[in-house]
This record gives sequence, structure tokens and C-alpha cells, in this order.
Amino acid sequence: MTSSDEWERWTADFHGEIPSETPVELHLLSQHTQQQGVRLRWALAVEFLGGMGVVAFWTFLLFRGANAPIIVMAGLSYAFVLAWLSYLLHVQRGSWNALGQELFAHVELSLRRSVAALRWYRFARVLTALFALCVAGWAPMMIHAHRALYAAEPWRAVVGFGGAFAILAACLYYYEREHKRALREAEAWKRTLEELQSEPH
Amino acid sequence: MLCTPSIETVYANSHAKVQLEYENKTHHTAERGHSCSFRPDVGTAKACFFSGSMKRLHCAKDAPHPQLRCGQRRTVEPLEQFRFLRGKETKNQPRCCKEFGTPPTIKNTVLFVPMNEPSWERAKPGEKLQFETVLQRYAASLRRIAFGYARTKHDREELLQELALALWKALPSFRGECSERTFVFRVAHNVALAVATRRRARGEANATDPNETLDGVASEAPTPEEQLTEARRRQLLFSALERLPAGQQQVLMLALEGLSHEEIGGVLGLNANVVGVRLHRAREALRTMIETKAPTAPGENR
Repeated sequence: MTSSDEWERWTADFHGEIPSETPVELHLLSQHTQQQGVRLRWALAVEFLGGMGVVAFWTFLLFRGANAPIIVMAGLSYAFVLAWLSYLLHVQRGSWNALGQELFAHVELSLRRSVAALRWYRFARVLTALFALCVAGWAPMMIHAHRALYAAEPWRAVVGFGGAFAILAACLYYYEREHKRALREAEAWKRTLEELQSEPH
Repeated sequence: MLCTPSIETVYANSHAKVQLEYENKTHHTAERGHSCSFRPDVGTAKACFFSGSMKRLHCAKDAPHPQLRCGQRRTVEPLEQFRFLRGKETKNQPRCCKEFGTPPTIKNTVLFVPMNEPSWERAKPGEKLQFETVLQRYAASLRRIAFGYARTKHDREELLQELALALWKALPSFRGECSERTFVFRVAHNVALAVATRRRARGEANATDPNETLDGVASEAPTPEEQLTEARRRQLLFSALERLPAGQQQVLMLALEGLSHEEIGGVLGLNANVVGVRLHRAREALRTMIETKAPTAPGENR
């Protein structure tokens, strides 16, 4: 078989129908895509509003009665939201437009994004650990300050502080897992970039 | 020299519906994403062939259409008809034919009618592309991309959905700086590569599905003597494509899609010469991969 025959055959095979494959339902694909796109926009809006909600909550607590633990926790929360929003903006910045970039630029951008994600998860992990330490320090102080209330209704301490620790533990677990994923992804992008650079370009 | 009737395969990509006629008799119609073969049993034909996709027509020196002299390329417009009656075999293949790797054999008389489909490269600078129109126009190509990047059916469906979503996201940013086709392929390959990289990061690259992998295809062959069926050959091709390094895989898939070196360069951000070198290497790699996995058919010299 000559080289051109081979090419023609590959082209025919490439363009041929795969019998085991079900045909694409275009209207369904289009419908799902548009629904998914709307969901993505909503998710982004909810994330942003969530951040604003956290800021509003701690600001409210600060105005209601600022004491040392609240100031520390509010400061940590602000730092968290600020870092998280800047990460979100950094990662999302031009991400929809960037899909139409040339290959190298796209791969480099993807690598930069996964490195940014890596940094964010590291930061979030440290901050969550700090939160946990603060709550651990704050809990005995609060219990001592309101010992009459907690003695009358001990479930408040269990639910309140237990819940806070559970949430922080879940966050730590999540950030740890995502950090590992981001690390693997960054390494994979690095390999892809090296692979592309090994080709003539 | 008169031509010998031969079987011809024609590919219709996502843009074209092609009708093949011989002396006013329709032999076959190729729909989107399908290929078809036809066999003119009588008469002679003028050398005329397609460049792998329906985008361009190449003709021998004596082609009757004044705009289709050898070495010329042009975009085929919807409802444009070309009729070539009576022809002869050309021994010296024109240079333009070699470029596309078309074999130096006589081709058949065809009436080429791309029907009711918009032409290629239609988007003008600043023109907004409609998601549904683009999806419809490139569905077959996107599906092939999904097939080239994902091994299992589930992954392919997921990837196809991701490709559609990426187009939906990216289309508003299209300002006509490049052709519509270049843009769509660029987005699709970028996303497919991102999905493949994420999958690699999750360590799924080595996941096997015996019915769908290259190894599975080869081991399923009843005996080494049996010829691979068309479907099996396709699976083998796509599995081999999926295993190529990213740079080679993309250049090869785009070339098989029917894009010229310049267009591939536009998609990947490379110049045409580099595309040529990469394509050569990719073809070698693909050949090796297929040869090592596929049993040789009887009487076939691979």
C-alpha cells in the first residue's frame, strides 16, 4: 500500500460512521449545553454572593460588639474572602475568551491557572487551620463567659462549637484533596507543555 | 489512455452534502460525516478529485471548468455544480494533487453538488456566530474529536458535551480574526486537550475497557488472517490517535479532517512548514502504532 493510499484509507476511516456509536442528538446537546451554561453563571453569582454574605456577617458582628476573638475571626474571614475572590477573578479572568487561543498560549495559561489553584488551596488550608485554632481558643473563653447559659443548655455548646469544628474539618479535608488534585493537574500540564515543546515548533 | 473504472471513496464533512453523479445518474449521496463509495461501471472520466474534504476541488489540466485549473484551489459554494464528462488518465500527477496525498490514479466523473449548506469560511469580521448553527455545522467534526481523545463511550459523550459548552462560552468572543473553522477547531482541540490532561492527572489514562481500547480491538480479531472490518479499522485508528503525543495527535486529526497545512497552522499557532514536519512524524508514529496492533490482512502489504 502506498503512502497516499494509506492516507486515503485513514481519511475514509476517520470520516466513517462508527456503528456502535449512537448518533448525536443535536437538539438535546444544544439544550443541555445552554442549561449548563446558565447553571455555570448562576454558580458564579452564588459564589460571589456567598463571599459577600460572609463579609456582611462578620461586619455585622463587629458592629454589634467588637471583642478580640471577633476581631481576629473577622480579620481572617476578610482575608479568606479577599484571597478567594482574587483567585476566582485570576482564574476566571478571560477564561471564556481564552478558549479560542492558540494551543501554546492555551496550555501555558492552563499551567498558570493550575499553579494559581495550587497557591490558593495552600493558602486556604493554612487559613482554615488558623480558623480552627482560633475556634479552639475561643470556645473555652465563650463557655467560661456564658457558663450559666451553657450549663442550662449544654447542647448549645455541642451544636455550636461541634458544628463549627465539623465544618472546619470538612473544609480542611476538601482543601487537602483539592490541593492534591491541583498538584497532579499542574504536573500533567507541565508534562503536556514539555511534550509540545519537544515537537518542532 | 482510457481510465479503468475504479471504486472511489468520497468524504463529506460537516459542511457538505454531496451528490455524486455519473452521466446524469446519481450514484451515491454522502451526508454529513459519512463517506461513500461509488463505482462508475462505464465510460471514461476526467481526472478530478477531492482533497479529502469537500472544501476544495482539484482538477487536472484539462478540466473544463475555467476556474479549476491545476494548482488552483477554491472554496466550493452551496449549490455550485461541477460537471466533468469524459476524461483520460493523467500519468503526471499535478503538484497540487501530491500536496494532499491523492494517489496518482484516474478519478471518476462526478457531478459535485454541495447542497443547501452554507459555505466554509463564511463568517465576516465582527459577525456573530449562532451557537446552534455552529453546533449543527460542526457536529460531525466534534464527534470525531471526541472519538480521537476519549477511549470509552461515556468519556466521549462527556467530552462532546464539554466541547459544546466550550463553544457556547467562546462564541461571543469570536470577532472574525480568523476563519470560523479555525476558531471552532482551536476551541475544540484546546478543550479536548484540557480534558485529556485532567484525565491524565486523575490517573485514568491507563484505564482499560476491553471492548474499546486498541488492545481490545486487536485481540478481538478472530484470527490474524482475517481482514479487519471497516468498523474495527476505524476503532483501531481512533485508539491509535488517542495514544499519540498531543502535538502529533492534533496535527494528524486536523489533517484527516481535511484542513490544509496553513489552516492547521492557524489552529495550532504554527507555521505551515512546521506543520508539515509534525505531520510527517505523526504519520510515521501512527503507522507504527497501527502496524504493531493490527493483524495484517491476507495479501495486504502493510
